[in-house]
Amino acid sequence: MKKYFLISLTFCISLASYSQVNGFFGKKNYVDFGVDLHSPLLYNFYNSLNYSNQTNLGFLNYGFHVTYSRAIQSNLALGLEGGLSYFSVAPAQTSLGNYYNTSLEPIKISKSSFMPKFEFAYNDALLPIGVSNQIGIGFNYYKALENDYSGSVTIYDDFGSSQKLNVSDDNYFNFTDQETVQGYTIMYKLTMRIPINKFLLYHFGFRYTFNFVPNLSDLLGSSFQTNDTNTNSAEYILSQRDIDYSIKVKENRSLIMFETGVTFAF
Amino acid sequence: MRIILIVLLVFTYNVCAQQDFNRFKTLRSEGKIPEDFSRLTLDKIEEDKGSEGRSLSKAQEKVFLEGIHYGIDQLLHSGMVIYGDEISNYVSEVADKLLKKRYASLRGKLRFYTIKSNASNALSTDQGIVFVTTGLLSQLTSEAQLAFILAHEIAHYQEKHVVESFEYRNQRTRNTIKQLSVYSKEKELIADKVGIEIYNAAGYSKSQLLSSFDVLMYSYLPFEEVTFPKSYFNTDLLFVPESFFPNKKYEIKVIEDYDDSESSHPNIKKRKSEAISVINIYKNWGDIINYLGEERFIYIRNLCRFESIRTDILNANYADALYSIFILEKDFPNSDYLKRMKAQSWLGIAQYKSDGSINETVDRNSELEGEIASVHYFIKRLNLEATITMSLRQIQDVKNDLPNDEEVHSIWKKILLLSADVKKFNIQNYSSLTFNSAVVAKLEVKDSSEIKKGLESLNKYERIKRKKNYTDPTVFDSTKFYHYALTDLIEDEVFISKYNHIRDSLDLIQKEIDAYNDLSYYEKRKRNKEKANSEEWGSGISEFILVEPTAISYKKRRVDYKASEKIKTRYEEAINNAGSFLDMSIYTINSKNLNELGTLGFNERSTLTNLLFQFSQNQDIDVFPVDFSYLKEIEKNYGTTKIVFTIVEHAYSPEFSSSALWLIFYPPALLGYLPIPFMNGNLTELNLLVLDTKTGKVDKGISYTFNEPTTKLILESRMYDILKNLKN
Repeated sequence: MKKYFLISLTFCISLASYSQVNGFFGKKNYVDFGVDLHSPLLYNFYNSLNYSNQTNLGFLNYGFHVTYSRAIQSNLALGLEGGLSYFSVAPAQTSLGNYYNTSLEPIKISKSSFMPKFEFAYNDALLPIGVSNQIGIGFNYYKALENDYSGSVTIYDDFGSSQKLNVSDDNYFNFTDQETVQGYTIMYKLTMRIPINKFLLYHFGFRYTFNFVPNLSDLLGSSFQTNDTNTNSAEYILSQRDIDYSIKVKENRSLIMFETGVTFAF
Repeated sequence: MRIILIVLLVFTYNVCAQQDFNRFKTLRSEGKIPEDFSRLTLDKIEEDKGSEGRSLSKAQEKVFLEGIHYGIDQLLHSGMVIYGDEISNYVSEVADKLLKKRYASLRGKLRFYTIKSNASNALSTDQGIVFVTTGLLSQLTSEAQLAFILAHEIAHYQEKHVVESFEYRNQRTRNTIKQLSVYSKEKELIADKVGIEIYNAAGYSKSQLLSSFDVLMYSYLPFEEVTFPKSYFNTDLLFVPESFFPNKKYEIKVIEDYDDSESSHPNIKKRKSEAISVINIYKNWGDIINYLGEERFIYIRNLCRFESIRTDILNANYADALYSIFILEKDFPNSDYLKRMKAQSWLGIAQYKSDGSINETVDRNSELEGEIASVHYFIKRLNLEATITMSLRQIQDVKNDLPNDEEVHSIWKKILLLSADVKKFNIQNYSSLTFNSAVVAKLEVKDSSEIKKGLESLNKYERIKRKKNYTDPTVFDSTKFYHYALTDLIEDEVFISKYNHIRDSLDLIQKEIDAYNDLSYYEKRKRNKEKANSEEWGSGISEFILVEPTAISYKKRRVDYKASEKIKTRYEEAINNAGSFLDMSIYTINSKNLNELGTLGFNERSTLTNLLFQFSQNQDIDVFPVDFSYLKEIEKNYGTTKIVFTIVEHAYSPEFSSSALWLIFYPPALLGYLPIPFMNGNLTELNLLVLDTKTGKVDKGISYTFNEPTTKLILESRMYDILKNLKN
């Protein structure tokens, strides 16, 4: 928490040290309220959902974000963004071994993000109006959401026969004791803001992100190498690393999203 | 007695209505504003849709109507066109005489306006407007010549040549210039033929017909071809040696049978020969030369000739203006207007010379033709010091003639400032003797026995050197004639003190500039920052006159007239809203409120448009406004000297990088790339100019380029930004 506080403080000092711009009708501060819309179609296309009981992860993911920015020059602004978004992942059960096959309902994930960013525009821009480019580097926090998930596990024996067991929400994943997954994000956003009146603007644009969830490769590497089968006695079908890995795969393929909303200038 | 009174009244009315050439002022529109000027272009297009006599598809009709209406409306509002004035009324009367006998249905339907231009031209439009330039009228020798030219234009209208030419261009996908030229020449000969028929029916004399073609052929020359005397500038205080004038005549090069293979009109020889064959068809020729009277014709022609001087100055053709002044001075030696125009011309010459761009105002050697060549030659021949001196001399002479004239005084202040600023001009070099006195003094020196003895003792080489360096007291350097041209001024203490004061102030500024230039890069940056913090960007402007903004919207690299109109409306509203938000007073002069503003508003708009045109001739020169007195009236009416001109241009054209083609191999990246050019596709350019009529300078020039659409609020927020800075 301390580091977020320090980042915020540094940011506020840098905002306070600039002033000399007219802004939008003299308003240099502005807050964006936006909705992100992202279609996982590409993800669906490029990934085979062998472990899922559904053929795709839906057609639309969404999220919300709020950004406070201040124009420090007519074409340069600094801002802080907080966001919350939702998406689904289809985790692969990695520890049961070759004798098991899972068919599980995709798990919903919430992603909270926090990001300082700077905004710039070309030519003789007058922020916040018009086309602007935003670049930010920040943190993402992922968490699996509890729900009435369903699924099944098929167990094969050496003689080729199988047994199908239904899985309920209770033994799906340990939602209560789950760890929050932390990742990093680099974001580029192209936004167009069009005024509706003298303090409200409509905005839309496209957000390009590269999300990075660290240390997972080591974790996964050890998992595959050891071919851990002790989960026979485990209470839950999915482990934390299953969830982590699926988040990483999903996030690596969430490159572009459409964004729209309103901006209040003050 | 009653009859005498009526005659007296009519006579008095006529006298009052006429211009006194000694107090001439450039003509302005008069009377009720015609609908051609006050109606919106879009309304005209709507009304004109589906008119008879056009076999155009809907799409073609749209292009045609937009082309003619926007094109002509641009001309109508260019500041060059006047209506209801004496010239336009005269032209209308001559046209009415023509239409009475032939095409009576067109009487009252055709409208006649005057273009203040020195190009000799007349044109008719599909809308039924006939324009005649002052340049053409100034060249004529009779009303009958004007009648033929008008008859030719009426024939173009009657025969629907404008729309036919459009149809011809559209029928053929690949018209060469030669094909178009052949077609156009056919139409011109038809217009000549029908024109002669109309001319003949009106009873005009055939003797004037062929000479109309001569007028057209030689119209690029001044309105008179008289020798410019080498002694023209000589006065008691000024003597210009003849060596500054050309020692040969520059022949007139144009011939009747010139190559017309790519021109829109047949050459004069062909037109004359065709005209002769048509003339011979008619047997019943009248003998009218000046139906409205010779006196009136000459009066109208003089109006046009006076106008031509103003037009020359507006276009920075100062040598042409001086030649015209020389011609008109003979008949109007006491004309204040001619004197003012002379002062303006010499100021312009000095400004262009000191700017190093004199060649923009005078003809090149290869272009010199006729008697006017002497004036061009003379101005080119003068060096900078001589030019400044000549200008000072001429303007001072005008000032002596018109000591209480505000305009002349303003010109004089400008030339004084310029002379103090030009390093090569130093008042210390000037003699207190006039040229003639200096020559006499030299002769006396030459005759003195002492000098004679001294010279006799010199050897050959000492003599050569003395002659070469002009140190020989017996040799007089007449090329420095200008050093003897300011004898009155160098003894005028007021002049000298003003000159020295300006020079000292300018020296101080120069020293500051030199000191700044000697600074290192970082020192300069620091100085710039300090200056920016200490100085206000704005000019403290709280009120200004807004001349109708211009808006141009491009679609597929062509002007989208409809979209342009919409942007213009939004832009104008945006400026006014931003202004009222900032408590600024904005007085708008535009074509939309011309119905309310009337002719006064139209004239004001024309004056301001001409001012902008004059400024645009050479942005490095603090031009003197040619319509000085009218500008003063506007200042008085509105209580401000700040004039704002602005233009906004917009295009939406997403640009795709050719290297992005490679992304086709990785569709997700292509999907990511595509929004970028689309979102950056808007390109808007906004330019705004604040002119101060008091200083004659551009107060502020603001230029913004941004990737935004032109919604009202975007434009308003931009204008808020600009106006706030102007105000603070």
